[in-house]
Amino acid sequence: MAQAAGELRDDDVLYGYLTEYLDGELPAAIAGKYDQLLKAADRPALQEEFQTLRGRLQLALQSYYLKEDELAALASLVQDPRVKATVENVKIAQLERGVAVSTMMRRVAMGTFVVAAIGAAVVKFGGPSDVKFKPLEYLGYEAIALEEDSRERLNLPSHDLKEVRQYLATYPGLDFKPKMLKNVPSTWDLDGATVIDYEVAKVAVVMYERRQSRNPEKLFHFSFAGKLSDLPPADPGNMRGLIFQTYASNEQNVIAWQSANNTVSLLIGRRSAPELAEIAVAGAGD
Amino acid sequence: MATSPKPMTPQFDEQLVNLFEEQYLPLADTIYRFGFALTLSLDGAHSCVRQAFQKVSGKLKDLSKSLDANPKSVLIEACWQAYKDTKGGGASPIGQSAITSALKPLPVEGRAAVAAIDGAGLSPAEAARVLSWSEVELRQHLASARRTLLRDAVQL
Repeated sequence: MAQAAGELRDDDVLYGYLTEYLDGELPAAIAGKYDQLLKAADRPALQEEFQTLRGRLQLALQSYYLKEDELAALASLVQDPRVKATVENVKIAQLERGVAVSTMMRRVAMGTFVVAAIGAAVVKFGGPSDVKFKPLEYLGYEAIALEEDSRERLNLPSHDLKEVRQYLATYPGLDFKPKMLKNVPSTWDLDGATVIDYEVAKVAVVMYERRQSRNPEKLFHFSFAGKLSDLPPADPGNMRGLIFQTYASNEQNVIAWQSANNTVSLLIGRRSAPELAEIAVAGAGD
Repeated sequence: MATSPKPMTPQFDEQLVNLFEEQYLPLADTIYRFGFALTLSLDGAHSCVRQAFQKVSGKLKDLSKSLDANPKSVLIEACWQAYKDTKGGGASPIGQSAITSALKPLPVEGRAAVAAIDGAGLSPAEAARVLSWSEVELRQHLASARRTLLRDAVQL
């Protein structure tokens, strides 16, 4: 572009390169000459006047524009308006299909979520409980609680053997035959009975008390449906033919035996395991 | 088993249509203004625009392959060619708008140079190419037009 400047009259250079001068893009070859031309022109405000002119020219031209139908006519040069409409309809239909599919997918997902939530709720709150009956843990706790407050916890506080037996025999909903010790040593008095309902299992409890001792001592005979083998494995003991298993905690000893075909008995007290076994042997058979 | 017929799909080159609508059609107003600067007539400007776009639409396939085709340059060149081919379309300058009054004293070459560079924003080199002038010719037409406009201190 600088080559052209050499062939131009000074006046043409001055006005022909105004844009480049204002943008700072004058070719180096004419930059020096241009400054001289600008001074010689005796028009100190030439740049400002040109900028104003160019701005007004652009503004004035912007008042000319095509209308919508004129633009549409130009667009129709490459695509028939009816085809364009068809294409747009096809695109709209595809979009609508996409929206319908995504809506359906959302609904299916929502339905699945709701069903899953209901299922989870049923499993959590309404379904069969997976809580297992843990006799040693539960009944160990019950024995301690009965020791502390037997009056509140025994449904039938009674010293009457017949009455207690009848209570247990007629207790509704038991799937086993509650056991009582037949001949407990006379030092132990019958103190009452109750049935504990754990939902997963019902447990019959008969309580005995040794009043003659300085500190009244209690003994609990629990019976419930099940097999001895359901309990945690333990070294078996044998007290005159009574096969039993022994367990112990810090406070109590427990012996367990199969008191009937589908009934397990637990005797829990603060006596030693052999003493508990002696009591159990004496009372077994009922 | 009966099958439903496939839906009719319109036959058109979507890629070229998109090129035209996205790259060229948005410049229609710019070309219309360039055409007006040439003809100083609304009808003449319409005619220039229509012919320019007709020309471009006929060679869209070639333009789509040309990586350095500047849509604005292509359209201004087509508009200028259309003006020259029709001698201005026979439209007489009408109206007394400020822009008409300002441009009317200029020769068409001056109007073309000013409209292409100061109006549409082409570079002088690009303007020289699309108007089919040498650079010296372009600078002469441009300088002359600017000088006249500034001398007359036109009020746009």
